[in-house]
Amino acid sequence: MNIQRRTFVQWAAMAAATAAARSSSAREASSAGLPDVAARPDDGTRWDKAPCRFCGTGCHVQVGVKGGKVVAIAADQQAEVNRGLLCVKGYHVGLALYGKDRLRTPLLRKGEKYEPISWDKALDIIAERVEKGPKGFAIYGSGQWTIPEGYAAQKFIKGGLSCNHIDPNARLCMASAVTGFLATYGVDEPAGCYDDLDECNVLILWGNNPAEMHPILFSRVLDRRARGDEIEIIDIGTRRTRSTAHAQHYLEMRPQTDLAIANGIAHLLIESGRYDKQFVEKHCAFRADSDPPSLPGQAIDFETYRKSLAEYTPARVEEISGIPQTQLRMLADRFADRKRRITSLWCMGMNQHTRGTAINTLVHGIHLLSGHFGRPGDAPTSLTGQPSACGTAREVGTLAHLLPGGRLVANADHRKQAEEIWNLPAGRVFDKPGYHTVAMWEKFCTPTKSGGDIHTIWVQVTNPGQTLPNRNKLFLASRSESDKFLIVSDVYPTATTRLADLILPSSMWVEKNGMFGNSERRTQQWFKQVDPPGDARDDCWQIIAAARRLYDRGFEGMKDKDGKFLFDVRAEDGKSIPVWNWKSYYDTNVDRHLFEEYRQFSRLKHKDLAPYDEYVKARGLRWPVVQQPDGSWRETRFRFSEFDDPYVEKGKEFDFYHSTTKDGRAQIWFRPYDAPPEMPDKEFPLWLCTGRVIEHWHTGTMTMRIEPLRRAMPTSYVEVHRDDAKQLGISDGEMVRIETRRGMLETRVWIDGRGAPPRGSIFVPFFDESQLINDLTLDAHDPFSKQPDFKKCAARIRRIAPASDAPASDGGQQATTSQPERG
Amino acid sequence: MPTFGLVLALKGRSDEREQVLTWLRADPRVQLGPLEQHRLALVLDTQTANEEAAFIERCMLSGCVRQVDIAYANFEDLVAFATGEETPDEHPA
Repeated sequence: MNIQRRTFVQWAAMAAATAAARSSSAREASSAGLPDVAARPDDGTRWDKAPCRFCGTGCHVQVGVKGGKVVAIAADQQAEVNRGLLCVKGYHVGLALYGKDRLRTPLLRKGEKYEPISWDKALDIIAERVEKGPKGFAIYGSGQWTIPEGYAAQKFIKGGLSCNHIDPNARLCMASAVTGFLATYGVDEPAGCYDDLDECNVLILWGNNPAEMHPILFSRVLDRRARGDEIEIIDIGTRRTRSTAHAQHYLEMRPQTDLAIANGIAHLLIESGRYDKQFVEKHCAFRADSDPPSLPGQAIDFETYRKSLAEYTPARVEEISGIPQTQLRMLADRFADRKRRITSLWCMGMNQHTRGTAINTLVHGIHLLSGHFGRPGDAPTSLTGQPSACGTAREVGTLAHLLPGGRLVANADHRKQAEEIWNLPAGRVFDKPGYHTVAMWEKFCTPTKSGGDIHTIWVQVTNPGQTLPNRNKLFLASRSESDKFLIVSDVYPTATTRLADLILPSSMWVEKNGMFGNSERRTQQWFKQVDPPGDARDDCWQIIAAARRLYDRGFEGMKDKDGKFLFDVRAEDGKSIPVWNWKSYYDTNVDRHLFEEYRQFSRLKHKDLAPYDEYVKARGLRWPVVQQPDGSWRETRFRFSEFDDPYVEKGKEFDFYHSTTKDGRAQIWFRPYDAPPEMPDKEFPLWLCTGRVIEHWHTGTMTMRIEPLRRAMPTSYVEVHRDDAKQLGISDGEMVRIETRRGMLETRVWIDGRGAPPRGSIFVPFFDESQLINDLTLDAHDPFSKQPDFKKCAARIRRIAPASDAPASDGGQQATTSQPERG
Repeated sequence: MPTFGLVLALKGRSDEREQVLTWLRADPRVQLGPLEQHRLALVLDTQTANEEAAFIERCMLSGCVRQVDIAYANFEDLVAFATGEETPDEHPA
């Protein structure tokens, strides 16, 4: 970079930093008169907006492109979510495109090697696998799909193959949040939004570590505190984290006992008469598990609810959870105080839980019971880990039981609606839910003759070879079945591509058009800004091209009821555009076509989306987005509250208009505490918890290729309590073997590291593909959400080498994974 | 090498803050921008990849910085290296 250029870049950096400092101090995003990084003099860098590629926060960045490459990232001053700031991953996001080993051409397995093949041949192979038996063909995607990509995959499977075997890795991530919202309000996704973080007086973190996982949201809270706002942070968790350092109260609970704590709070509120009687009588009903268990459960009256809670006295809760009675009473006091505004945040700690649905409903219940709901700052809010877990997995409904817009495949009316929008013959959409994630992979790993009726899985935008629980059982076993075929679309080699039969190179992020939906119902849009490398192509194109290949080969499912192609795209003059040909794909905006079709579904359950072009103008809009008399489009910040939600009738104050009891009421559940399915014992005496770190995003396939991030956190590790380490004769930095009943892993010990697990507990992050902790985790899952529990299982550790023999800490670590030794 | 626009959220007494400002003024990689209430804008011009991490850590260890946020990052040199397209002015023949 020459001096003149460097001076210019420094000027741009100062303009962005100054604007960020001012806009944050002013408590609002973007203001007229502030320096705008995208508006500075032309230096040949072209700037455009995009949401960040990584987590579900939904920060907007300005992407600087020069010479056909992304060369700079600036936080977007106009973005309400991040207000001109980015986290350590966010400002490196542009480098995610430039790892040296990007996949550039389709590859077909030949024995132990891969042979480059043409896209034409790859599409033939996909078509042949479908023709082998459409009911045994599955797609496994994620909340990293853009909205149009997920919608195309959804239509391909449910409208084209009539089999419903599509599920996202969001099943491993937030499925319990979905069932929690459904069971409580009858409709998915948070009622509140990030604005609650600007208004709350108390922030409760339920097994949540936003300082590392959602740092921009957490910094929003800390910044309020720095300005003098009184905000109390209460951290309820099983391990001290970076978030704990900012909390006034840390409540260390035993794993799984959050249910007892929630019931204990409700018990105290009721017994002291300090619940919000007026709100409850007017807007709530009571519910408990039915026999057999079902998501809607059964109605109970208030007295039954009160009696059910009776055993959760402070003394009993302390006995179960380890939380001192004084701390439980403190929590109840906070909820009893109507002058305060309380926001609860949670993410994987409550969702990756065999009682995930139950604890989700209980936390909603405390907020409803205490009336801490529906005012700015009073909200129970789940966060997501993926950029479009809400937009694609939940709203498009790329889950095995859903249709777009919150419709159900098991509901005849809903299937009919989908068939009408897709112009399909009646009966095309199959009436049975497909396999959820764990079942799908279990069937794929089971020999065909033994009932394993999934013969092919096409994976897009995710890495199940690293993220599935109990990996030996749910992933590796399939690789010894000769008639099982794994197709993987990805941007880099991963733990999944390495075992694939067919690898397809994909475009990523701003190499394609896209739309995401973040954790606060905000739908975001961006345009393609650079070309993908080599022969890499959009995932959406891959789906459409495969569909067209099937259509051309006479596969009836890829025709609508008039015989037209399922993904027929017409120009304004009515001529068909051959978007299945890559060279024609960007002759039109396929995203706009698909989104406008999908948008029709959004109006069926009050999740209204605006026209595509409204999102081009905005930094995202929160649904429902409703057109105003003057023609403008208005987003909704607080659902079910009369003052903001257009679907609440005037005079009602609150209306849960998708109530499962069809009376406008939300459900307050009683759910008992149950012991976890596996607990430490004599043989495996420790709790094992898994999770993430700030430097890496999920399985690290992108962030481990960003040199500064990789250097900052090069390998995985195990956090061990100092006293446990002493008892086991283990030193800091020493290599140890971790074992569970499912597998083993060798890794390095970190004592007094970033997190601090209590005695009897260890923690291992999952970003490092050289140390696959998911060989060890449990595949037991929640009965309603089917989400596995990655947060607790029984483990043991053994020392394997003295610290002095260990290699340097920044590389060369030889980690291994395999089946455990018994005994 | 990367150039960053950073925002430091300051805390502590004014004399303690002054110590940090003195240290920052003495760092040749740093250009200080305006102090908006407690938030200080600055530019960090690094010579090597990952240098900013050590800088941020030093800020946090000073005891007067509550938080460091990033508003801008230019990494065109790194992209050029990664894609094998170093520009002539960096590597003159």
